Amino acid sequence: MRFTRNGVITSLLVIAALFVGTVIADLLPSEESVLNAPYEHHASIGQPVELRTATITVLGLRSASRITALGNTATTEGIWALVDFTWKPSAQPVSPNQDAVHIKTVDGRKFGGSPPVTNACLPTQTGVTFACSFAFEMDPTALAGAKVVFPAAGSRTGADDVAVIDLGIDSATAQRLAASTEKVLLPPPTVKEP
Amino acid sequence: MIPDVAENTPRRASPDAPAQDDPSAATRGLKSRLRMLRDGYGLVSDILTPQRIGLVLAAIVLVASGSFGGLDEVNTKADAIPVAKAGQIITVKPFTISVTKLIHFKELGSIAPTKAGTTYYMAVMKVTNTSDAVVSAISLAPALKLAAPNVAPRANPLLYRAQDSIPARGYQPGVPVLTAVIWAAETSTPAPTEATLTLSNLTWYQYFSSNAAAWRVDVPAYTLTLPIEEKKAA
Repeated sequence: MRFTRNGVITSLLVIAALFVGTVIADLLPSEESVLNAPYEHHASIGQPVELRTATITVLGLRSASRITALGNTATTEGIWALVDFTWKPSAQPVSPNQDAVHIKTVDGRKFGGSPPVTNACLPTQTGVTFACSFAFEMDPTALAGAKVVFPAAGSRTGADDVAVIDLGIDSATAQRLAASTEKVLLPPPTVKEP
Repeated sequence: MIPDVAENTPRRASPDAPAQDDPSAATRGLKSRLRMLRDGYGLVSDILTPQRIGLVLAAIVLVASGSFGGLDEVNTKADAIPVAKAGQIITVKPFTISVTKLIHFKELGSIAPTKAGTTYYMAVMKVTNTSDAVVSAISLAPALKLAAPNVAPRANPLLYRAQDSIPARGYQPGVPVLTAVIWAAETSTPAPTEATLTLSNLTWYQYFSSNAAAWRVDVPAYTLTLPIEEKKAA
């Protein structure tokens, strides 16, 4: 093999081109990641979000040091954050899956899953608006800037509609919520309208 | 051909110039390269004998493998599991746990109903999830093992929120939960006076064949030996 100056320069340029091409290809989203990403609808408190399965409106957030539902009481060393919302199924009588609903915080943590006491938002009916509340046991330091995420259907992963509602908690509100010593009874779902 | 020589003049054979497609040309070139190498080796063969070359190569292999740990002592005994004390805050991934006490009882209301031949052991511990997302109590249960003489727990323990007496569902990030871990076991005589708890780390395992992932029990993190307190019957 004979090494000529042009040959060496050509090989180096080819390697550099391959390297740059690989970096660009890595930075671009792949078809699979785009197709599998959830479709997020961003809103704030009081704004209805029309998802594939239902229309959801988060009415507000309150906090408690203990919650009671169906005869069971749960205390916490953190704080109970109660999200009040309305849910109106559009095509089929689906209900929000409390396992999949979660609160995501600015530090990247997710609070959710089945709580130890719960009042499921069941049963529902198509075209009827129900008022429900979900409780989340949270770290009080994570309240500021938190958002609640409602997926359209049961599963929490996969490409589907997702409502991301900003709870509008600033640091002063977070401190007030974290200091709550209330005992709250989780209400069963009620029909709001028609 | 020289044209002005008479036809019957004996002619010398053509000089030894190989034809264009003579196959022996390539081998003749190779042979000379080999010969060059052999001649070159011949100059140093009195110092670099084949045995010495073999020794040098063996030494290089040993040094190379030794630099990657090939010459280290074989670890024939398993690493001992660290021992913790009651009340000590230990890291059992992805939690920090502090075990307070170990209690033995025959029944505890609806959580541990009276059954013939069954007795219960309860460890009280404060569990704090240090990861970014909720970890279910079902994932933690198999990582907690109880061992005592004559005690054979029947299955994985059940976890309860100790202050509320309700089943623990999930451990939220950064929220400590006082947990009662209850094992059901066959009644044993004599009843043991102390037991050893082994707490193992959990590891987040991603399955290759699907997108599913779950917490799986990994290596043991700590053991504790605690005296067993007897709960007085109510």
